[in-house]
Amino acid sequence: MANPRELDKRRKSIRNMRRITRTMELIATARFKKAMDRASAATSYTDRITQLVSDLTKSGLQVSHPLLESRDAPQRGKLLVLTANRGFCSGFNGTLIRAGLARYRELKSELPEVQVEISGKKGIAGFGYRDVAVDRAFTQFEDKPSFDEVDEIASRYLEEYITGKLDRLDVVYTKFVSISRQELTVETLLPLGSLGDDTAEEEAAGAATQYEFLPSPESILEEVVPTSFKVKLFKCFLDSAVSEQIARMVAMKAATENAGELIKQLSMQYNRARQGRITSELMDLIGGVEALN
Amino acid sequence: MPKQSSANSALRCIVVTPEETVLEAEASFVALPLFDGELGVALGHSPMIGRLGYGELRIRGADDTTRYYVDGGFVQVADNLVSVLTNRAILSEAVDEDAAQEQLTSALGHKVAGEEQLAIRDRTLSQARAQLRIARRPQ
Repeated sequence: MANPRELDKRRKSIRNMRRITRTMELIATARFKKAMDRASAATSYTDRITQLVSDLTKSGLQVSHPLLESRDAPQRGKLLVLTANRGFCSGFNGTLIRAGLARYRELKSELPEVQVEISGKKGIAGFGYRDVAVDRAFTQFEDKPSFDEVDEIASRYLEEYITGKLDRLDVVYTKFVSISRQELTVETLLPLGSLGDDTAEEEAAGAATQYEFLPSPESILEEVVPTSFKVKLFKCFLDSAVSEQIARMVAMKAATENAGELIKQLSMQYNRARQGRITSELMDLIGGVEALN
Repeated sequence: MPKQSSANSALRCIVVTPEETVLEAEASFVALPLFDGELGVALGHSPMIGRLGYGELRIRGADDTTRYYVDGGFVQVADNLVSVLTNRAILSEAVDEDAAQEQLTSALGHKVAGEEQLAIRDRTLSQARAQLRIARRPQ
């Protein structure tokens, strides 16, 4: 029979663990709500940009921009992997690292030169462990990525792309679909395949308003394309932040429940052991009395 | 002034950045810093899409004027709704003069080669100059 005191000790430590995971779950929930608010605030901007682009294309403008065209012979590729700074979020970082590595090998076989940039300590460690040289690493993105920070990175990519130092940019991140679903996504952001995601579908809807373009549709297009790239990248960061919090929330909820179950089990074992010990002591006593008689 | 078919009888102005909706208010008149000069929008303006430059956005409400520094972007006017999409919108009073001055001097001292880099420097310059202009305007 197990030692009741030992069982009690284990039960206590599990209780402490449960308290910690429970707190982490609550923190993740609060952060998730904040991140979610930010993400939905950003949608207002993206919706309007999409609307603007669709109005622009409706005016019969030929959409052509260096950022939209793929290069004939791409030489230099870049891979950006968005992971988390912290762990305790089940498979979130692991799947990202795995997908990132797979994409890295793919790119490596296609292009002679591939750079890797990673956001998040976990991803940096994961790639470092597998001996992949990381060219740039970011750790400043927590649950609230700010547009200025992303803008800085996006501007650098754009500059490199325009000056010919970069031919392709792939991003690996977790896309937020709904609270119960997040998808691992590998996307090619440069060259931008198309502007707005659903421009074609909206084409038919509504009577087109005749817009006046100031100074000219071309000039607006010239500005819209880089902006929509920046916004897309920003959205990746936001989605990643939201998904991370959700993953942590789910993982910690499961951990808390699991700890609860363990405690129940241990309590039962403990009670049984205690009862067993009492019984055996009583048996001893009774046996002694019997012997005396 | 052409009659608007829509029911919107007042001019509304919405300023959004990628992070948040900065302002959503009714206005009597909106002055926009377009790419190549200022443009005023009053009630019943014809539909328009414009490219914004760096400068001051003024929104005249019922009794006061709100001023923002906007950092490029777009504006769309339709049905008496002015949507301003910009990367950054800062209240004019909050514009940091010293930082702008620093940006200006560092950009001026920065040597460039090639057309693309020149364009990037020009952009930084006009950004800094616009901020300075707003910061130094007598209150």
